[in-house]
Amino acid sequence: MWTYVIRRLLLAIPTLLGVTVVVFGVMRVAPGDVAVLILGGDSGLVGTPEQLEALREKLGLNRPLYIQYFEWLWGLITFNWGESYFYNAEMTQLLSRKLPLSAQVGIMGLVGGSILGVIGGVIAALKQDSWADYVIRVIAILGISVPTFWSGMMLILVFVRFWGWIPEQGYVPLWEDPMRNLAQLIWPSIIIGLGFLMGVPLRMMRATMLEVMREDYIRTARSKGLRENIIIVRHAMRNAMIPVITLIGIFIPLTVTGLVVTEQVFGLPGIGRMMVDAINQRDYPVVQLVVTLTGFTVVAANLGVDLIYGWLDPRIRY
Amino acid sequence: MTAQTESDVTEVLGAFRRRNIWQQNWLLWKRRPLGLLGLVLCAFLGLAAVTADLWSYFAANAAGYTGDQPYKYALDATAQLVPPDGQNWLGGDRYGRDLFTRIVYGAQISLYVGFAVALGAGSIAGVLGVMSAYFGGKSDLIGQRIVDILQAFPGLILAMAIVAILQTFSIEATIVAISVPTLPRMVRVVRSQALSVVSTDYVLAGKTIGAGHWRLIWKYIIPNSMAPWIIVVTGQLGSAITTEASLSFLGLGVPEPHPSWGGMLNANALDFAELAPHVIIYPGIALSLAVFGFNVFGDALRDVLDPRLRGR
Repeated sequence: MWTYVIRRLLLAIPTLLGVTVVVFGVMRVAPGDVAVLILGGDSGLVGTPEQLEALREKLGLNRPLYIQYFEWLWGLITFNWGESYFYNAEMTQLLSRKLPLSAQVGIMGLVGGSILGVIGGVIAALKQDSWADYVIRVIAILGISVPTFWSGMMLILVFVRFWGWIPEQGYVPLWEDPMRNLAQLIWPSIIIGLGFLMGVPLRMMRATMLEVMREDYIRTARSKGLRENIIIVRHAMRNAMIPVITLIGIFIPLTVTGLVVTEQVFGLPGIGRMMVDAINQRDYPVVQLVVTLTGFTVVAANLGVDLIYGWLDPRIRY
Repeated sequence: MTAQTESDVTEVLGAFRRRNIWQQNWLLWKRRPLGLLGLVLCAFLGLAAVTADLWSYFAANAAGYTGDQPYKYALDATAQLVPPDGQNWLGGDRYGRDLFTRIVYGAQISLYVGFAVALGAGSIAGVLGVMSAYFGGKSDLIGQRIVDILQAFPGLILAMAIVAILQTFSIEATIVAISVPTLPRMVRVVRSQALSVVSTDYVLAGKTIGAGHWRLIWKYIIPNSMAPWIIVVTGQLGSAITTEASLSFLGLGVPEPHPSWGGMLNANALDFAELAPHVIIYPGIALSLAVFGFNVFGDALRDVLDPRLRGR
């Protein structure tokens, strides 16, 4: 097992490096001079030649490409992430303010959504082709079909119409005022959780549960005279969960996607909002960093899933 | 599953085969009511897109519009945020444009983007996947690593980054931005199917009788890799439409004054929530129904085309 863990960890390094190469490459394909874009943008208000030169110097644009890459990579590893032009602040500071918010909403949505999805999937499978099955499946597919930003807007609309209340803008950290923080962040979390994060595992869980319930070992358990509850929880669910766990790998990207739009709807100053603002303000260092970090998060999540998988299913031996 | 004797099976299969292809299809589809509903919704959407000019003509007449600008762009100060009535069937938006007309034209944009992404990226992915599987070797290895890496990025984030470097907001830029993140998954699917076809005996037989690369690819591998390709392309339609709407909603996709559903739901729309909820409600319903339709239709199609996945 340990050799597997180490091998898997080492294998992640080239992927992480690949992520940095792709991001760096993509951002450098940008037509035109990044310094001109940052200073001028569409308005055509290009800075003085001295300003341009100073910015190029600061961004390292006047050095060879590979040196730029390695400098950026070194900065990335040493947490020397540079600064944002639009926010005029160190990137590490910015992220330390915005990351807790996005992480909290994301985790609350992810955990809540997957638990609901697993429970819903089990019920739908056990009551296959009944009205309950149909209702649950329709809810799941609606969760996948209704865009997150629209369900968020509808939620706010209902609040405004019936209670004359608009969810608070801005952000109160969890450790300062837990109640106010939860009252504010529970809604975006619900919106994220009820969409893809519930729908996808629900459908998967239903499918694998249906398969598992027809296995010989379930029949054996029944003929032993075990109670149905025990058969479902200990024998069926445990086996049906294994493929669902792998889905966490695809949940992280889905959560990030959900965060970007939900933060916009609820006016939350998180990472997703920062990314949208950065694109509009042509704040390329921020875009580059956020894209890289999301890539890293996904790679790390996949790594975690692989390791959990090996630990969860004793049949998988490496 | 009830026990069946072999003769039962032959009889049922025989009865199935005696029907023509439409009857066979109907037999498979009528047991999937959700899929049929999806098909109906997609057809309705297509119809709305094709006949948008006609609807716009009626709507313009109802509102007594006589200007020479296309009605979907026409501003009418008196119709700003008006609730649905006889003149503006679904009300007016914040600039006084007719919401009904814009929603109908929105179907054109959604379908255009959806099909352009699915077919465009689908064809590229098909070629890359088949080539990668057939020729194998170093290019396959490198290609698959690139696919691995690209899969590490959430689709919307990668699309946003591409918008950022394209630096233009247009329908075409949106299509490009959405296509790139969809490529890796489709390449994967096509490649894995093509790989299993490449190792079959009939491809070996083809090689033995001296068939060249192109003949093997065109006559042997592509026809046998089509089913998963169709499934993944159809599956991509719904998600491409959602991504387009999300990008436009964020102000990074299809720009104003194009009537994109996502753009109509742009964050500022919430400012009018209390005054004019219809501005938020109707475009969202249209968008959700379209995505729902493509999703359930895609699921049913996958069921029908790939018997191994039936019931999932």
